[in-house]
Amino acid sequence: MTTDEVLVKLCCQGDKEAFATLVERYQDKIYNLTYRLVSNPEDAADLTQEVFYRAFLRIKGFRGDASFATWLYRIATNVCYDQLRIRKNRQVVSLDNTSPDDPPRDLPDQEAGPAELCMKRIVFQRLQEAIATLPVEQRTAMVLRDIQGLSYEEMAQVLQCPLGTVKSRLSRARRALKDKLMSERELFFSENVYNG
Amino acid sequence: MDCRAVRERLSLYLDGELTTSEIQLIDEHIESCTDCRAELSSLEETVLLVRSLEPLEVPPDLQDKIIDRTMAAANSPIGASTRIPRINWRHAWGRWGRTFSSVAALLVVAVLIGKTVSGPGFSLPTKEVYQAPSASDSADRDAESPAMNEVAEEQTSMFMMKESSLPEGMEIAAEEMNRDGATAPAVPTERKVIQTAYLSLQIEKLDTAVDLLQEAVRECGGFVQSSNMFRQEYGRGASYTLRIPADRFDDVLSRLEKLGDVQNRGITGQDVTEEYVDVDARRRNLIRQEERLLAILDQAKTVEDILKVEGQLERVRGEIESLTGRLRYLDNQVGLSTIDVELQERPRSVTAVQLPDQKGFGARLARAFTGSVNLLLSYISNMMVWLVSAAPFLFVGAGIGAVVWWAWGYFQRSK
Ligand SMILES: [Zn+2]
Repeated sequence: MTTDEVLVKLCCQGDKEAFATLVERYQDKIYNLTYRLVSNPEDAADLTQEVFYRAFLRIKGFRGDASFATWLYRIATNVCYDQLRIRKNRQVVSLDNTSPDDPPRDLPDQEAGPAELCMKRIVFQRLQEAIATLPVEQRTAMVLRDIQGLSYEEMAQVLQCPLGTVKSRLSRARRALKDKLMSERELFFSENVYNG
Repeated sequence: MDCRAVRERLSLYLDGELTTSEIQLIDEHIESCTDCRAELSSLEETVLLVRSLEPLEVPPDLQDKIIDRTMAAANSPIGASTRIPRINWRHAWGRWGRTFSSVAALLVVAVLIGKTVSGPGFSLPTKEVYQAPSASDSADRDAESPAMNEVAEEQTSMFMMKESSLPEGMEIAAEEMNRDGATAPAVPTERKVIQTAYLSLQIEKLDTAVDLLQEAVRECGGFVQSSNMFRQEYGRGASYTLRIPADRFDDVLSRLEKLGDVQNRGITGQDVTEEYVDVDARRRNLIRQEERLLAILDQAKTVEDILKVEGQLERVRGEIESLTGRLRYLDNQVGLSTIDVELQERPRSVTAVQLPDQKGFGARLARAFTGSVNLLLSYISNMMVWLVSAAPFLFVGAGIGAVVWWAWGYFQRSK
């Protein structure tokens, strides 16, 4: 497999196929990152386009001192912050533009029966809603760590802040989310948590 | 390690981000403390739950859309949805490349002037990440902060502008645009630095500290972006994300540090001057393009031409909007520094036991007195231990003595 760095180099030389390969390799991650940050699949698709578009514009600025993924994540979080800010401003006029009707398009589990599937769906939807209520900087830390699986150092590079900030934001996010989930503990937690 | 310290570290504990000795201390604590054990398992389940979230399937047409949009911008023959007759711009490129280099040189000079002008009065907490850019250290700087690489981005986008096609016969107009663009760079009067700080404090009373914190934020004209409060049996805590006007950053930070004992502190300064200058220049350039295109639109004769120009106009406007958003974002980030503050009340039990650190004669007296008391207590306790351990001998001795005493009395009476 061709490494990201080689593909980036080819990209800079105007190789369209190389760019397409990078898109294929990362669209999944970027789409999921943006979805977890903005909680809306349509917006996530638009934002993913924007992320790759900006990445393409800046590709010659990529020097390989951070990994390509880190660099792309940084663009993605910036794009999402821009979007969330615009949305915040719009919300002054229209109360809320994330419609609860948007069904989460998580992959269906083949093994589970319809009842379990339904239950799982509810749990995941509530969980996503709870994540969406976290302050944006905490939410980002949590998504980068627990959904995208970044290391603390990578997170500090993506968010461009001290390691202490990363640790603190993540810890706060997890504790806040835990407290939120505790209000529906029967739904989210196993028995040993809500009994003992 | 007390409950508070343990809970603060549970998130890091789960991620294996602690030292071996810290892990050991937490393991020991959790062994005996049911509350912390429950806290750990609920936190762990929360994390596992988040990690079990299944990835969303990417919409099947997303990749095509990305490629279309990107390549349309680059006007590549691959996947360009709107095919516009291409013009050979190659002859213009040589000149363009030169123009660009001179713009770049101008920018470096401008930036250097900006640095000198704002030089002495402008201080930053982190000097090492804050250096005046010059051609020689640019490589180091790039290594330091990848965000600054975005200068080079302009090369790409300008390359695209060069390639972007217009209806035939409009080359001259477009070349004029490029010339206009070359005179457009903004000269910054100061460095644009995004400052971020993290501060963790141990305080006496949360209410007092929060009042003082809010007062500090209010007085400097900042605001609280988000806050959490939490209450636990060993004391209360709160965390704040503050946005502080950049010129008051140092003030506010040192004021906050006085609220309690600093446990942890970190500051970063991210220099975005170059990105700012470049985005600004590109935006000005595009605004000129927009004006030109509007003029061309007035002259356009055929429907086909009108459609082509409108297509271009739409693209240019989209780009302007995106760049304006970026500038606004940078202005916001530069103008308002971010400070993450964590406040944690000192555990009550510890405050009650430990004497405040005292100095001088009084303290020495107190220490001497407690020392003497302790010595006395240890004598008494030693004596008790001796008495207890000697008890069997004493009992036996007392028994023998009683028998002898009784026998002696009997002997005397029988005489
Ligand atoms: Zn405990």
